[in-house]
Amino acid sequence: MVATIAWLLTGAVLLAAAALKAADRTGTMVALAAFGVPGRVAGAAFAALVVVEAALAAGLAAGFDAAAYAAALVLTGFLVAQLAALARGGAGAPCGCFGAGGRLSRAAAGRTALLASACAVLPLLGAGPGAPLVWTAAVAAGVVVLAAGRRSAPRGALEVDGEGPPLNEPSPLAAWFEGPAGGAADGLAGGAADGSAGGDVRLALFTSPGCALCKRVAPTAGALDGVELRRFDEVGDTEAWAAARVPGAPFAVALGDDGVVLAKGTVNDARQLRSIAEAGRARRTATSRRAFLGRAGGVAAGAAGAGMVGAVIRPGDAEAYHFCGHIFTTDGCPHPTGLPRIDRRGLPLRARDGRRVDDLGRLIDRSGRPVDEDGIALTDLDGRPLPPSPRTPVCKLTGARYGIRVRTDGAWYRCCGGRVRKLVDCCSPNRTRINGDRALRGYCYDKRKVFCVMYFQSSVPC
Amino acid sequence: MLTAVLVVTALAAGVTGAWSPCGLSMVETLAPNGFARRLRTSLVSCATFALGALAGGAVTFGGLALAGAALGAGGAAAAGAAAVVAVAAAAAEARGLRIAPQIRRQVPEAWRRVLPVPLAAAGYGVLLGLGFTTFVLSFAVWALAGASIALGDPALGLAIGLAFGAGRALPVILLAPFAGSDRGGAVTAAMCERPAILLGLRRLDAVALAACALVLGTA
Repeated sequence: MVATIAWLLTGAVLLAAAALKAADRTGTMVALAAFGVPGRVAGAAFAALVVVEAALAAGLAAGFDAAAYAAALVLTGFLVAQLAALARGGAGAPCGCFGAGGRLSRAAAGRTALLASACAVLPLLGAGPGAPLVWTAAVAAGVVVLAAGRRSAPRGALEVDGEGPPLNEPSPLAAWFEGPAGGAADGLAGGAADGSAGGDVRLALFTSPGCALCKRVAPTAGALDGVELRRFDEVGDTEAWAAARVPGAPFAVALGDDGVVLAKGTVNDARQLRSIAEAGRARRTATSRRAFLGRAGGVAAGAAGAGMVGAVIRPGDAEAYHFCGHIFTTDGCPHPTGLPRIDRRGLPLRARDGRRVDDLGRLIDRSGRPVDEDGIALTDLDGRPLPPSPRTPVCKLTGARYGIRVRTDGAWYRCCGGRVRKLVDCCSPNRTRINGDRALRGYCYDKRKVFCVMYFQSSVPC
Repeated sequence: MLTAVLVVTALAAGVTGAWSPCGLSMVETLAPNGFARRLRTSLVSCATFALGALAGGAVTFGGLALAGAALGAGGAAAAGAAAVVAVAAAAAEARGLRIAPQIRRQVPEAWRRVLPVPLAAAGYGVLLGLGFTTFVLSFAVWALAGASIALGDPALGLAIGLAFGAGRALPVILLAPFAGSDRGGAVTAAMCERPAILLGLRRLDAVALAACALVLGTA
């Protein structure tokens, strides 16, 4: 009985490790980088780890001696890797043992040693449970698949080169932190102090009045520990926005005491905002003690700090993240009401409710006449209905505004916020995007590239 | 009778899957005015997509049935368990509940850019036909997987898989060649904008699942 429980318990621990890794691919890959695994093989190493651990778990539950010895061997390998990383000064980095949550420490190494020893002595305790391997393998595979399927929003903020202030360079944003709280410094207006003053990282949070995500993120910013927080509103703090080259809200920048940019990124929730602060903290520490954390750079460009949970995410995630967050690497096409929501013909709709708007951003009825929020026709002072304005496809209007040839080419559907959304590119032969960055092919064809992006919201749940 | 009911359910579940990010993206991709660029390429791609979907469905459900056979399934108890799962799935479908567990995966968009479109379409077809590599749009998919294992009949599993693959392929290959036309665009837009269509399909799935449960329970 004791032996059976021991076999099942160790199997369950290994299966939990596999499932937690599968549930957080990005975090695990960042942790692998901290162990010196090059970024180009991190994906394969991640998959191998999950498969090996799940297979060992299935073998243990089936009571195979060979599985116990193999698990002991594998865990000894993990132990050696942990000890080597600790010897290089890597304490505190993500260990990736059970997903991305755990940290590298003596205790973690001790736990690995204990587990390896337990696996080695399992055959001596007695026969295992002897469940059919096909069943245990099916259960293990099912658990891992379900865990992988549970991944939703990325944990880390989206850090894109060319968006926001350059990393590792002094930023003029520092001036806003050096003035009196809530007021100006060096004649610069704005920058509301919102959190604890004198934190170990300075965090600038950029928000916008019409941004629903900002309303969700902003209140959570005040709860961050050890952070000196300033909020910069798109309307009230235009100079700070310009100084930081903010691509859209909500966006956060972590600065060191010396005003150097430590981390930055687009954030959609509290967890992602926290990842900016953690990344900033980790990078500052790494810089000061030249710790091995810098080796995490192999995972993604600019990821010099493995101490953060995220701040670096896979391109696939990035794409989904961007669109789901209504914030784009390639900016949205100019739209009369902000976010570039369109109908199936490419004509502008108001983002928040999908109602038709004209080129002036006014709500209109089916005949194109401007109406108020209640659908009642707008009139002039004499009570005469206001004349309709043109309503132009957003992509076409963009072309006219920028004096370029444009065309709506391909599209792709994604699941965003529980609804299927069609992402549509406004393409042009231009070599640059609307935000000045080098243009990408995106969903365009015939040698055209993405100039700006739009979306069509469906009612299909996902 | 059992085979017929399961095949119809699989077909309906496959068709419902068209209302997914992947299914809708396929219509866009295989359209003559989309990445296919020409009607001929579009038609060839539709054919390879359908073949891929059939193969994917056969692999998943045939494989599950083989696994069931290896596990010694096929008794009255297993059929009863499958019937219970089908009842639960039917109830969930009838109420239009959010699918759980959901697989939040999508086919790789890059394939259509880096591969010849007919080849990419074949790959997309396989992934959609496999059923569990992308978004699942009906509880029937889970119930059919359970039934395939429980019945442990590889031939029946193959039939379910082929029907499911056909269901996944049909809306795409019927719509894609015409997606560039006004009427085709209107149909695709209706798929996106009229929740009643998807709701109706899910109710159809529910009816089919209920029939499955009945037949399984009395088998």
